[in-house]
Amino acid sequence: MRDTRRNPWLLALFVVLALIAGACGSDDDDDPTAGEDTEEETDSKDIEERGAGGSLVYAADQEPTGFNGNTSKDNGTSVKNVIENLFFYAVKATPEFGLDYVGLEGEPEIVSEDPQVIEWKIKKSAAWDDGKPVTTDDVEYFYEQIELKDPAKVSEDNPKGYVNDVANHVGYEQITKFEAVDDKTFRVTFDPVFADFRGLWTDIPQAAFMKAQAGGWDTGLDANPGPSAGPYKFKEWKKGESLTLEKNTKWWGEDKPTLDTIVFRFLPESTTQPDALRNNEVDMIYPQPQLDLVDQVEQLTDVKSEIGFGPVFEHLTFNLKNEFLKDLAVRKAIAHGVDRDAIVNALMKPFSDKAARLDNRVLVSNQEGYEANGKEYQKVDPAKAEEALKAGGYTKGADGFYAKGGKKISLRISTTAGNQLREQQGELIKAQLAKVGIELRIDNSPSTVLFRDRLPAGDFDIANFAWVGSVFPVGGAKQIYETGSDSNYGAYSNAEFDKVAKEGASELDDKKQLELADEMDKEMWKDLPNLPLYQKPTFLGIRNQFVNVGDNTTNEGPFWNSQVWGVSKAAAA
Amino acid sequence: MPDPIMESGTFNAATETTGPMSVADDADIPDEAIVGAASHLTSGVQPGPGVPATTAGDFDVEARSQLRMAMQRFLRHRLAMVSLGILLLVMGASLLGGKIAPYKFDELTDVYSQGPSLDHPMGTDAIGHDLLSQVLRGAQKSVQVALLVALLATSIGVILGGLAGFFRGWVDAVISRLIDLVLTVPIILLLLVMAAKFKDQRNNWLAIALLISAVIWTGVARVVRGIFLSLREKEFVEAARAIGAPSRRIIFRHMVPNAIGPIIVAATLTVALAILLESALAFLGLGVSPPDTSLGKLVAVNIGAANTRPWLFYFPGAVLLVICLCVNFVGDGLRDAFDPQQNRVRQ
Amino acid sequence: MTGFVLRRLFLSIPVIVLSSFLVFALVAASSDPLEALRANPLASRATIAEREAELGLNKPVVERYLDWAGDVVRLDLGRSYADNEPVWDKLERGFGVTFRMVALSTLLALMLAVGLGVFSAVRQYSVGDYAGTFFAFVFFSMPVFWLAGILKDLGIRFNQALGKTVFYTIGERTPNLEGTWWDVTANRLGHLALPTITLMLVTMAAWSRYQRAAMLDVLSSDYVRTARAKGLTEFRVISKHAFRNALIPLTTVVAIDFAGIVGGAVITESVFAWQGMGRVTLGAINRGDIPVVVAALVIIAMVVVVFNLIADILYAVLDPRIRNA
Repeated sequence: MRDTRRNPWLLALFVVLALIAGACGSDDDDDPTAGEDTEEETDSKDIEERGAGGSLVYAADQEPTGFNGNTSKDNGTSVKNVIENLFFYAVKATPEFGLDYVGLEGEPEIVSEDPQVIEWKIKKSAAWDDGKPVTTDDVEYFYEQIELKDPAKVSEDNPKGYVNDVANHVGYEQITKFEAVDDKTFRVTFDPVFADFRGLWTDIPQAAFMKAQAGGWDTGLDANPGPSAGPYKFKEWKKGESLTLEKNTKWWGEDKPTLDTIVFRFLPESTTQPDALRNNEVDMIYPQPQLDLVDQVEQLTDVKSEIGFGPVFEHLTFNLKNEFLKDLAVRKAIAHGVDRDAIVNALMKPFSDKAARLDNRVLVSNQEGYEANGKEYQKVDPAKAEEALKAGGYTKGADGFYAKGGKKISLRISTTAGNQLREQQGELIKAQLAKVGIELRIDNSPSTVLFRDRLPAGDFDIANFAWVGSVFPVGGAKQIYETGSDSNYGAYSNAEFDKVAKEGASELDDKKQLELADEMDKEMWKDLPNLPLYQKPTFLGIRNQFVNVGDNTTNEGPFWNSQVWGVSKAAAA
Repeated sequence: MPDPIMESGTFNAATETTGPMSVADDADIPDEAIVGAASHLTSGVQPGPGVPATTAGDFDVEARSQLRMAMQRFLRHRLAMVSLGILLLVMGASLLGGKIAPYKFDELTDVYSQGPSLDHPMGTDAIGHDLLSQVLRGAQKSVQVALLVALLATSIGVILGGLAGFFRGWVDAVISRLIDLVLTVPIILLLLVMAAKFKDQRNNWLAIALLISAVIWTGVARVVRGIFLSLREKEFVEAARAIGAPSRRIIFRHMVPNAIGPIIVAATLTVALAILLESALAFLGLGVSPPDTSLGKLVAVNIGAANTRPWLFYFPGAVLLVICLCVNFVGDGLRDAFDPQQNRVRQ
Repeated sequence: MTGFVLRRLFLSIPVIVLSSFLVFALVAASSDPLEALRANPLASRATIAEREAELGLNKPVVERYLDWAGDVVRLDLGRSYADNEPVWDKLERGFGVTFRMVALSTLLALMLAVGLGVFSAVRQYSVGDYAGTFFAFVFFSMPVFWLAGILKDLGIRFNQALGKTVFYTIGERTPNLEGTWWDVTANRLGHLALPTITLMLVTMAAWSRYQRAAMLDVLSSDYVRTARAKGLTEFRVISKHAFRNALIPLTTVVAIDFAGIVGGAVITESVFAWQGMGRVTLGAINRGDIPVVVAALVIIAMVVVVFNLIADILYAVLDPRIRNA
């Protein structure tokens, strides 16, 4: 299943999909990162010394579908992990949820706030491996293709008449003017204001190559990504088996790659991955963590593993149109009655001590500005849950469940069928709420049915799935919780929240934006439109001989710094 | 006079794959094959009373006594009897399920991922399910699915295979093409395509059973068709026809009783096949919906636990293995019982 | 004989056509190729509508089928909805992979099954018969993926004990391997071993029962009794007279099963990550990739038909009673 997105902002939204997947897999994460600009220079500082050469085999859980990650066809992590090593990036999110302007001379400059004009300067040294420099032309062509329109294409479904298959227009559609100042400098005017502009210009292929392909934007990069502006370049793709990248000897960055090749071995069945690692057939895995899988990898003496926490978080969405859930007393009782710590202890703690309850639905715990809000709900409290119900006019029946006006509180809890973890979560929550007198019935559906049909139609009472936070949290949260928004599945509506969200979305100062983000969350703890559970862990296993490989739990994924990967001095000797 | 029961196609019943005669599109070859296969049975020791079955009435008597003799032989088959005993025990336990299980199958204890202990003889899973209780419940569901499949698939197979073998001609041509049609598509893949519609249903074990039945009736149908093709040429059938017995009576009063041995064998083996198919579906992501469970699902979801929580991997798998193994042994014993030829080779 | 073969092939055409239509309709009804796209909130309705029109998803099933069939008649299987790769390229690869695995395991299973079956029959009710029967039934009664999981674990433990990789657990070769012919061959065999053994054990079990039954049958026949009466040694009776005739039924069963295994190896392929026919089809089913699913199933159907035909021909050729009839 293809997952989702990476472009920062929006992100949040999409959610879901990805995660789900249970059987098929995978991927999860995605998404962006952060709002703060701490400018951490990750490169070159503390990198461990490397020996020459080496080849790393990565267990990819899906085969790429092509290489233009900006189309809806190729917009998944399987493609992202490959092109992350090849294309031009103005900016990448750091593991700390900061931004690193890898392809720029510096942070984009705010030339004017009203109208909003921003200036970007591409790094002077940035070049493709065929010798051409990375120029404004590459960026401009990229922008033009995304926003290419043809009046003949206008239809009910396509009101703007877009020509190309583009996964995501957010940010680009606000651009009113793109102006090339010189080969390396360009200015962009936005209207309306686009606060998350710092995350723009990623995954950019070479314009000259794309223009020369018969398939153009949509399919021109299906078989070959073209010249590389990254630390590796495309070598070979054996369909159904593997894809090989080799060192780009002309890489312009400061840290030169030393690995000869990175091989993506396609292994969609995640249960095959730990065995392949144990049997020396792959060197690196990055699957959805699961108890047995993690234990199995941790048993291996020649492999180090790392659990990280990304922007993806599990939560319960309440359908506020439900006759019981529209009553705040019931939502309060659920929030008091669900033992989030117990869920974490049962499902996450066995493989990570750092796993913890999440107390914020706009920011995740490793993000700057995170606050543990919702103090009164942090510890489970069955007594308070029952108090809330009694205060709401409910009375306990002989069967131990509360009822009002003769109607017993009985709610469906729905999640993605086939995802064992989620299914187990549902059973735990059902048992916990039974103790405070609320009856739950398990009613799961496969991810596609849940996300495509049931959630949008409001055919659920309590839904358990994941949202993806973001480096740009305000835009994401606004899309999810704003009155009338498409992904506001629970039909939440709060004028005060809408006001704060709107303010946040046009705030160009990222520090102030984070404060507004926190305020948005506090507002929601009063209404309880949903209940965050915990941040999902990511899991990276890598053979000991490799150095400098580490996860980046934002949407960048583990390949964010592949230029500094290598084999250790000892192993090379 | 050949014992009709013995003729019933030694090979056909041997596995649910196909006997040569049943695949052929061409009626000539199958007939000859059956006659050929039967021909060397005729010299075998006749276990039956040897009463020439010239009339329908006589024959019923003979068929019944054949059945009794087969039962006697079966009762003497030690491996099969032991298997049957184990099977009855396991089935009894699983049917009692909730009564004898130490916990309710969907009850969550606060003992997570613990190996076998006195409290939890088979250990617990990640959220505190008692594995023994789950295995009992799973066995119940699996057996439920398997029995339903055996019943449905056998019924469809006997009816269609019987019609094809009895009427031959265009009826046979149509039914044989239908069988070919189902056979041209790999069972597992066909199930997956069909199951895509049902995977989000609650209580989908019923749907799973129906789907499995819909694809595996062909095995029984081919066996029955082969037997009927040969039976219809027999004197007692001709005699019945000569005295004007209607087709329905001939089929159900005369032919089915004579084919009962292989049918029972095929039905038995279908039970094991259904349990395994259900587990394969669970492995490919189409198991019964939680909180319910089945043996196949328990085995499938714990497939990664072999090295880390071995009890989760081995106990459900072993129980499933024991059930299928016993069913197959019973089927094998039945086959021997209905086909005594197989036991009297050398002195 | 030629007439018989042609007639059979001709008769199977409607079966395959009908089968392809049913599969097409089933897949079209049960899956949505744009599922992932629709569930992606970033994908615009424009993109979805365009893809729908491009793939003809809004047309009635019969019309879509006829479009597809028209292309197939012109030998064009179309392109995968998922990655735009020509369907033929995908399937050709998958078929080769599966064929290698199935051919080897069939051969080995056949040899083992015949050996075990004959032994069990000749020494009926001996300890050996019981043991052989028992193990055959054990392998026959296990979920394939469970057996594969155990074998995989044993293989890896063996490698660890040896300190070098002999058995591989994923795929059919190590990518980018360079080395001598011997290295490459050893690597391929090391990849083949575990899946082959898995498939072999599972199929061998049923076949050995077949062989045992056939052998018992033949051993009690008139001509074997006659041969014995003539005073031939038991070895000669068995090897010359009984054995050959007892092979006949198994031959046909194997021919038919072979086709089934080609399509049915999907679980073994998944456990060992072999990109064979079954796994390609499985992936396509999950993604609603109709051109790939239908083409794969039609090809498997043709293989089934051809091997069934081969089974009948073998039967006729091998069995003198039929040959002479």
